[in-house]
Amino acid sequence: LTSFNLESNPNKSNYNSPKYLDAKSQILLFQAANLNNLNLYKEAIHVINSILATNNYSYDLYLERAYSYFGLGKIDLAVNDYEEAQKYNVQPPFVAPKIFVDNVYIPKEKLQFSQGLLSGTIEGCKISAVEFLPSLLSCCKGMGYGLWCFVCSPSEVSQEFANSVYSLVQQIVSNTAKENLELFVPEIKELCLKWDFLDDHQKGLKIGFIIGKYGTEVFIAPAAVVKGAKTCYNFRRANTALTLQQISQSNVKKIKILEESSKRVTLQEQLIKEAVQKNKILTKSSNAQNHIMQEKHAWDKLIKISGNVEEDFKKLAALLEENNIIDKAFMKGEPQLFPATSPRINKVTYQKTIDKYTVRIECETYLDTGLTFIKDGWVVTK
Amino acid sequence: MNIEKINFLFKSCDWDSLFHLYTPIQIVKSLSFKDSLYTAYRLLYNDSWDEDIQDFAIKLFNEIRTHYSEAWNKSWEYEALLGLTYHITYRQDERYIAYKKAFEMVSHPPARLLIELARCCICPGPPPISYDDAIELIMEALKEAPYMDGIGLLCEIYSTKNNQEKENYWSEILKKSDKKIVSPIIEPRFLVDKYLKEIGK
Repeated sequence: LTSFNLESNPNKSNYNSPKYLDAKSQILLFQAANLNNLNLYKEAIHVINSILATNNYSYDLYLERAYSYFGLGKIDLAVNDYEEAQKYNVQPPFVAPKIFVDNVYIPKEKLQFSQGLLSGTIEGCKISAVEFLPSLLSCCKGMGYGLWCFVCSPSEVSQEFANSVYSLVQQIVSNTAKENLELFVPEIKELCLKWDFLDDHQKGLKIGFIIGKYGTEVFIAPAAVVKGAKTCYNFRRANTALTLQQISQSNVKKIKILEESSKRVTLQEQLIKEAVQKNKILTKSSNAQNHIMQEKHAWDKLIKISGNVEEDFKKLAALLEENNIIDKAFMKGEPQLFPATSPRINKVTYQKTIDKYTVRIECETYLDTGLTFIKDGWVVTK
Repeated sequence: MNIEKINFLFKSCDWDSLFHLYTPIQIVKSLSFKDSLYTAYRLLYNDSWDEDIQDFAIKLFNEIRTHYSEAWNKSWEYEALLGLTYHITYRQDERYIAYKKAFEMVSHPPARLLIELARCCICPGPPPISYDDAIELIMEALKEAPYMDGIGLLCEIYSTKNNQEKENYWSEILKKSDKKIVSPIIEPRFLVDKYLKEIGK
């Protein structure tokens, strides 16, 4: 097929070096894709560069590096690679894109779905959401919020993006037990409950709203619950591809998207600062919540434990925030720095008596960003 | 085949690939004792401070302990390093076991080891070491120098004991103490030097 593509392409002469990846490079490219899926963009670039150094070039290679640069917020470099990738795009139209192989669900009324998606995303972008922090911590410079919506017509929404997001939500809806819906942001929970009663336009509207408000990353946790990581990765990639496609089309579109991106970044920074000022209790991962809510940490002395870790942690966070525990006044001992020889993390302890019980909280602050996360905490039982 | 690849990745300081592509057993079987240790050390201090990678570092340290038991048991430093790893990853029970073992392996425990072992009394649930024993260990360390980390820990312990008087006393000392006087680190020197060289410091 590869040789057929090459031979049959009338623009063959336009290619810089129409080579295809050798077996080793394909394995490395697969690793790079995995690194991108894990948000390890710099590492992915490192791997891709090592392939390029061996004079191996391909559409997938440049596209993968475009994803990496996009993830790092280096939009110009991402667009360059996206455009470079197009030079190697010799896939004939009759070859189904990869996305169809992996996904079964697609909207019946694609245009209506896309119209809804655009309107919903624009509406969602107007609303700031600090409740879902992981997206705020990403370095995508606001690009995960479906910013293509500001420059795109419904017919321009790529089939890849429409299908992947539809498929992802369908997978979440089909595979999530009702009790697990509590784990998601309220809009996803509502969407799951109403999914079967909505037409494609309404579905698009609601999904777009969620993307605009929280960013594409908000679907990561639900996808993890239903083990839909692959669908989720496809969706993220489709968002990236659609954004880059729109940016590369014209300078006007590029400026508009970058303007909107800049607005989102400013908003994100503002939200994080406000959260820090309000001594908001933030965790970096769900692991920390599970660890903190262990039975021996004795939180049952202060809150009613339901057994649902997420729910219980929310109650605990509210209690700790109410008591303003992350305050200099309650700092104990001296901060510890890690690594001691070249510090990047500052570990600080807070201790306060709440309802006659001594509560101890251990937080880590990233010295480069100033972001603080709770890592441990318990009621002192002696 | 794996040995060559793992050695190549080690020499390239490609820690993420080692983490993603190989198991702790494969790494330990391919690298020397010291190189395996440095890999685990580097994964512990991974650039993104990623918990999953730190978990992998713990597994790797434990694999090294099993595979190179003779070399591991030659120095208390390795067990202390494992204690530090557990401290960083908030595994308080395991932290105590590792520090205690290191403490038992050395006839004159260094100040930092005494302080870190004492720190084990601060944990959820019943502490594995009593507050009084912990205070004794810190006082032993402070005989060497007025280490700020030791004094700070004393403040914390007296606060937890609700001994306001002693807490105030040591807090005053802490305020007046030279913040630069910290007990010397107990991480194996070759790991620290290699790490600083790698990151260009």
